[in-house]
Amino acid sequence: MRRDIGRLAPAIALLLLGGSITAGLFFMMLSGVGFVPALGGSVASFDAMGAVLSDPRLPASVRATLTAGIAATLVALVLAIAVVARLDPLGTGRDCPARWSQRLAVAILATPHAALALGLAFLLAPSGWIVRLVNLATGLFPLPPDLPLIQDRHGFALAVALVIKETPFLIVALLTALGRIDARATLQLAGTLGYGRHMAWIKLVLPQAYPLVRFPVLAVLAYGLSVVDMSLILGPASPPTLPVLILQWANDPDLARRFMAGAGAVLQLGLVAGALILWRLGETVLARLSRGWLVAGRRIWPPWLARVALGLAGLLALLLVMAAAGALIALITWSVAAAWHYPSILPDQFTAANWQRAATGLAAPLGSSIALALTASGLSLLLAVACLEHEKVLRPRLVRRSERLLFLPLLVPDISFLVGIHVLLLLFGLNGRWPGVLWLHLLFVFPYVFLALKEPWRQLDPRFERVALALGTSTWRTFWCVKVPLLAGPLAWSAAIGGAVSLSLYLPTVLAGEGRIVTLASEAITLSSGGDRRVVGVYGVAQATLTGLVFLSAMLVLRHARWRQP
Amino acid sequence: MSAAPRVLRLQAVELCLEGRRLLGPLTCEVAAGRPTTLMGPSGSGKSSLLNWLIGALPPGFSARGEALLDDKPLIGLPTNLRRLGILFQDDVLFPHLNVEGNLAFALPRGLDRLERRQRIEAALAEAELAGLGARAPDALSGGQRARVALMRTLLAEPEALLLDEPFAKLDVALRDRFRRLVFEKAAARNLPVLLVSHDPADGVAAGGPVINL
Repeated sequence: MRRDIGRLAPAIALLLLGGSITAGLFFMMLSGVGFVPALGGSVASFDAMGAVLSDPRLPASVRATLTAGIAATLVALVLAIAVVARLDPLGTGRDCPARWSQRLAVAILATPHAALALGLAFLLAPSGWIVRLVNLATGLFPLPPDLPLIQDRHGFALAVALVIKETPFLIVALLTALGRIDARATLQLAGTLGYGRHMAWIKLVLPQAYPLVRFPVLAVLAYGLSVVDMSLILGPASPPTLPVLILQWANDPDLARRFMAGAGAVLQLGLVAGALILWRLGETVLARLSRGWLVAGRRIWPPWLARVALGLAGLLALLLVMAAAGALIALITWSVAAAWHYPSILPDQFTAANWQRAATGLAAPLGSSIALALTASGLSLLLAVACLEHEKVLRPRLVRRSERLLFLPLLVPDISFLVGIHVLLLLFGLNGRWPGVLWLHLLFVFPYVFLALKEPWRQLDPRFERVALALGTSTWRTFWCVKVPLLAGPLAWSAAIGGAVSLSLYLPTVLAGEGRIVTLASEAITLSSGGDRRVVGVYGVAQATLTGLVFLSAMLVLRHARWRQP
Repeated sequence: MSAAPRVLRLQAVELCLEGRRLLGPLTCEVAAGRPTTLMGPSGSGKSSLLNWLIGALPPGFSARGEALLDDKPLIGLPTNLRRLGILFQDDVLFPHLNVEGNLAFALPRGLDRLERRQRIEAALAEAELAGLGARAPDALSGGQRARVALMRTLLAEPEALLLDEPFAKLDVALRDRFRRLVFEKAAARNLPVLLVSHDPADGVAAGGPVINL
């Protein structure tokens, strides 16, 4: 009996991901043409699309969306390549600086988007820490300058935040890729052919590593173009970026506006698809153009160029880490500040009063954040384990193909299919209720949990299980007493990643929760428009701390796991 | 070619792993035309010795001694200035370049288009690979890949050749042919050859001194 339920796991996972996203896109289209009879739209028309296209805010909005998304991806990629080249010219991935920067990168990765963006706003704003420091040193700004340092209309501040968040992701992806190609042998051999290390890195290692990081790069691009939470905090305000505009329409009580959200979501999907295609085209052109140069025999970079490029990369990476750390420190400082007026570098007084005042308000979002994270991550883990345990009975090609579905939520702009699913939730009356919110959380949590678990699970030596079974142990007991303890580390780590993803989700929470179910992430961002930095600080710190605790407990399990993956 | 045979000299070379002596002290003279074989079981440090010679000693190892190519001291130079060609057990062909690309990658800079073309064609013909220039490395047989790797090493115009068991992974029939090809090409180019191996047949085929570690 149990077996039969388990066998359904892959089908359930497929239905959850593929089904939800397909249904989401389908209903996005329907609402885009205004054809949702249950919501009063019984005639398909292009009115909504027309209204979106003739909205005077649209051109500026699209421009800012594209600028921030594409610029951030380019800068993050180049910076990640330069940092890894500088760290790791021998491609070992094991030397000390590489390991340390990998840890730093993971720490920044683990910081929730919203908390990081809120902290960055405290740093970068005209009355933020950086201007205060400049004023302290130069006396240039006795009053906060009237400059668009955040929420600028080009989306620069948003791009900066994206670079800070995405560069570490790409660095980790590149270091992982280096482990999979034999970078050390390649670089050694290139050395004996007369090539300098950095030239060999660019000409030999990068072309081999890039195909392995292409997907993460495209995911970064898609994310940068579709991001909502960071854009609400740091992105342009009037008009906002396209995804934020769509969210505003989707939350509008006016039905015509809801249909505009659908039409906007179609436009967003087209925008992201176009950008991804353009990026791939750019890759091809660059590869074609560099083909001759690759084998033309130039052995070393001009020394000044290497020095300037690597120096610059080091400096930028340092700034990046400092900005991330500064953002968190600013968040913490604001959360315990009594009064903190403009040119002062530090608050006049520290106090716990902010936390006491926020305590009552904090209870509900804290509770629902924890409940959602635990359920979403727990269910995802269960489903992932069931899938992995039963994939042996499936055809490997089918497994490989359906696995690609996991990447859908990372490439398809979430605002697009979520707008469609929102319509579905309305139809089923699930909007503003727990099952709806949990469903959307699962949609984002499950892929991460599965991706984190699958390699360790598949790499476990199958002989452990065979030996146990051969000793006459039952299947069930073998699973619990052999497999689970052996894989305790990866299990804990995957669960932690799932929990962290759930804690960071903003858009699914506000779309499905409709303000009736709120989490720390959604509250922190809602409050940030109110302007009381102390309260925002409290919520941001609470969100980051909770995420930190999740990873800390996973690390404790990892440390105490009886057997660790090599 | 009237030039005197090139000589690679190792002087009192010692190799230590985490402070424990692994190999040496070793002194030897490798003259072009008389390939020298270092024979030893795995773990005896013979591959590490070659890594030390090219300037890529893995972490944890330390080394003493000197290596001279003719009279040029090598130790202290970066890998790319030592002009030592090496063949590893794996061919390490670059998978993102085709056969021609792999060969062109090794050619010195500053040759004109025609000259590059000619040298690549000549190298392909020399290794019985004519017509395979446009192939991807993974579309070649093991023996063909080994020959591409050899020609790539030689096109970089090295001044000595190091062999890190490049024959071990080839099957027996191929092994003899490839071994002969390597020693022939090295002799024709006046290259000292230092071979490390654990296969006694390699030492016999090399026809020069054999040093047991």
